[in-house]
Amino acid sequence: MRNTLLTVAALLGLALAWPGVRGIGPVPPLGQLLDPVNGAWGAARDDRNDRLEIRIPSLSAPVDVWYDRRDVPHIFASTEADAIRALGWVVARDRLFQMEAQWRAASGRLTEWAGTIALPSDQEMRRLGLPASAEEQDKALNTESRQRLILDAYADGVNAWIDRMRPSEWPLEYRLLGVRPARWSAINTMHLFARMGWTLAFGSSTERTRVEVAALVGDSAATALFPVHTPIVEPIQPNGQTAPRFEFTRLPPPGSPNGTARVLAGMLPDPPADDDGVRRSFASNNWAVAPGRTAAGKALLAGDPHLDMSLPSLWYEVHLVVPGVLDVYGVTIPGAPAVVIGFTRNVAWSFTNTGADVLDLYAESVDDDSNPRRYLVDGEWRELRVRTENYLGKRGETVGVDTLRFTHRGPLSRDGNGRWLSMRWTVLQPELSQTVFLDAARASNAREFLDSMAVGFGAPAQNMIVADTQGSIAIRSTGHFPIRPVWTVGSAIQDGTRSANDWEGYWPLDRYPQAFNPPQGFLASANQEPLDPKENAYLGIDTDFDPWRALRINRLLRADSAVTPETMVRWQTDPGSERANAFVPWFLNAATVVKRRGQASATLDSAMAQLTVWDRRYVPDDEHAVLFEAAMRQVTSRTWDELLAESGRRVATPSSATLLGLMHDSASVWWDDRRTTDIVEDRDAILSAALVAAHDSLVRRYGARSAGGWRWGTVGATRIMHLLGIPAFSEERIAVQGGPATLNPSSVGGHGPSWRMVVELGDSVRAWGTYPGGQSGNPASARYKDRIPLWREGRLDTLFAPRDTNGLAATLRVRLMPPKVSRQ
Amino acid sequence: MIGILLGVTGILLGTWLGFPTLAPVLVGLAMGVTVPMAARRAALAGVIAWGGVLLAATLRGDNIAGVSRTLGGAMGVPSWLLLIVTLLYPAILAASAAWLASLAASRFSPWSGGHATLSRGLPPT
Repeated sequence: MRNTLLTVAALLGLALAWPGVRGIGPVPPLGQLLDPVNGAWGAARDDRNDRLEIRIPSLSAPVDVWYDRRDVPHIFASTEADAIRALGWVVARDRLFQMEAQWRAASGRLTEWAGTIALPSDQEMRRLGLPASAEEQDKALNTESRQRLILDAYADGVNAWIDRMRPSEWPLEYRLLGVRPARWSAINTMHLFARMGWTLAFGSSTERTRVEVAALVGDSAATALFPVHTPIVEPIQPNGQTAPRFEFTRLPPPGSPNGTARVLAGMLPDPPADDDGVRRSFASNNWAVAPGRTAAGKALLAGDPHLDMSLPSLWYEVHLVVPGVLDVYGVTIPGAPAVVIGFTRNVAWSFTNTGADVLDLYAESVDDDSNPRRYLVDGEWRELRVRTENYLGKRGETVGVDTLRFTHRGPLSRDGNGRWLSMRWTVLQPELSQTVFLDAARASNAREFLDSMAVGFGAPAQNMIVADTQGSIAIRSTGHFPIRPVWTVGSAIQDGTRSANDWEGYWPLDRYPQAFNPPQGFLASANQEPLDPKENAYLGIDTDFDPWRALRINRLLRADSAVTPETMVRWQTDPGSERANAFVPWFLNAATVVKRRGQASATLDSAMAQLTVWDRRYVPDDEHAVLFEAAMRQVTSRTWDELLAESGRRVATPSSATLLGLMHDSASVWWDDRRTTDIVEDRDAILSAALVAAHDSLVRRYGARSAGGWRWGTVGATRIMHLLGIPAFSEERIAVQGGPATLNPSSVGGHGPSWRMVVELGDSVRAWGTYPGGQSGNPASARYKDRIPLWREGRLDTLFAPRDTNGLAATLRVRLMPPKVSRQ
Repeated sequence: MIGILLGVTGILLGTWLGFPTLAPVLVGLAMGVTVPMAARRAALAGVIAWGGVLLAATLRGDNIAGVSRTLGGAMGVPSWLLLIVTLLYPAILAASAAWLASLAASRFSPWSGGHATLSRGLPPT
């Protein structure tokens, strides 16, 4: 009996070999995972305190790569191509999984890792035409061109790492997914830039917003709720004002639903869930101060791109030196053969997203609604370009097939049985030079830098700020901005049957929003509308832009004529909120009015008392900001009830600037909450009711304020998730200083300052920076998220950019060598 | 003792060559037909082989505890359990293979009466 049991146990034990080799479901092959020689335990290895000599086949001369104490590789090469090979090598060494995850996501090939669960994400990428666009760019690139040389050099470096990598050096994530690293191709870089365009410039909701809102409240109200220009005027291109301008207009009452729009709205795909009007898309800050307004008489620049905060970080810090050619320090995106944001011995630069409307939809007439092959333009049928997309699974099996169709404008698609819409989008024709960042890094002054970027950078449009050692500061919103026919509106769906409705080209350079050494002595962009409405230019609608951070930084800049680098660093996490400054008085006034009407309550008194004493600063210990934010959500919900669809979903939310404008019209019909049929509310009734409801909801959710549950550091804590969403590889509940609409909006979702940098440009260049993560992509490494504490505290590291290896205290020295020459 | 040492060597070699699952099984099979008390000894060889590699890595300064914590967290298991599973994995495979091999050897042995089995420490059936 005992033997029988033992035999059964042995058979079961041996059966362990199956999951050991093949894995079961999501569980990776156990043997390969647990293998202490070649498996996941290899992630424990740390060869930082070492000297290495590595051979890279395509290298033309030795390259020294010295890592400093912050694990930043300083690359000293004799040619630009060798420097880029080395860059590919060092980034792959630290971030290989991230690189592959990102190009797979960008090219719609995640199913090869994850199977059908990734199919929707892959389909979205491919149906938007992004991988197809990258392939076309790749084909169009001359094999002898400098761009091709650089892309291939980068791929050589990445593949040199992959080829010499021992299985024990595979990033942990490959083990968990049960997949092998793939080799790098030059086209992957193009996929990454296309993905960046999707992240920063995919705004198909503009057209949908207008149609859906018009379907509910008519065209006139829709136009007023979502105006072409924001009513808070503080543009990127200085307009000569010494203070912001407010151009609020009275909102017309809701009108009759637009029947045509109602039909069209029913044909549009469902938009993503709407929020409470607080901008949650990617945002950024940058500003520069001329020598005349700095304490040291040197130009200062601050860069602060707010992007998706992830682990590993989006950015990787690096220094490239090619004597006489290139000396650039900053951050690169793993997969990009260049420093994207940083500084040289002459200039420093940073970007914010312009957020312009660079995507238009066209309603097309097709020959066969179920299987179109041709589309109608100017009375003639044109052939659709058809492309079949195969989605492969983990073992090479087909898990999905798509037939994509393209008009001359771009991809053609529809949702369900809806209308066929084609899309024209600058990101699909980016005209992006793959060497634009390298070219710009050779600039000797601010103007040269911007002119260089203007030549090679088409999309996604960026507000590029730059300062130089000669004391110049400048900014230019650079990218392709469509010239639309005068009779069309960028925010409306166009008739695709008329070629006259097509774009007529792109804005000429002199029309770009820009400023060089303005009299005010500073420049700032924070995703606000780039041009003063008086310029009468269409770049998007009100909700595409965000005025609050721009108001704040301009207020700070105007008030200080002796700015120091320390001030710049402090401002990056300034907890003050112009949005709170604008709205809190309205709440307090409303509570007073309602009390005077004899409708006071203990809750209203308590809420009012809390907002009265609030200093409107989002600091971790604050216990009042949470009440204000909850009250704003309540106001938004109660005010814009007219925009609720039959399903109960709010189809769109006007901007908080529009809401502020409505505050000046206390009896507007928009205030009335139509869901309360027995009463007609005015502004003060809605605001005070919102305040009471917010207070009650907070007590229900967090307990009484005295219990300590309302602390902003707890409620507004941010999180930085791993790319695969694995909690153990992530950092959660990070208490930060800042909140919605502040200069550090980290607490909103998982977005936030992804790379903070301050640069002083004088006889020598001094710089400081950090990002929320670490140089290593290995979750088990001490360098994986070692920078988060510094980042959370709003402090920056000193950035060390030596001209050569002298004086560089390296923790690791790597010499990359060309192949041995065999003796004859 | 020599049998265990050979087992350890075999598992290490096979693992190093990239066969972390096959190596313990083959070593277990081999020990099953050649070594007395094969199952226990094969298990011990598995633990020593993989445990020795982890111990050597720890002594070299590798962050084994960190990986255990991180990977354990990702898989939703305590870090110590991941270490135990790592040690048990080759042990179970090798012991199971050894038991079955020795059992088969006793059944199909050209020698009479299950001599081979008895001589290798298995109880008579």
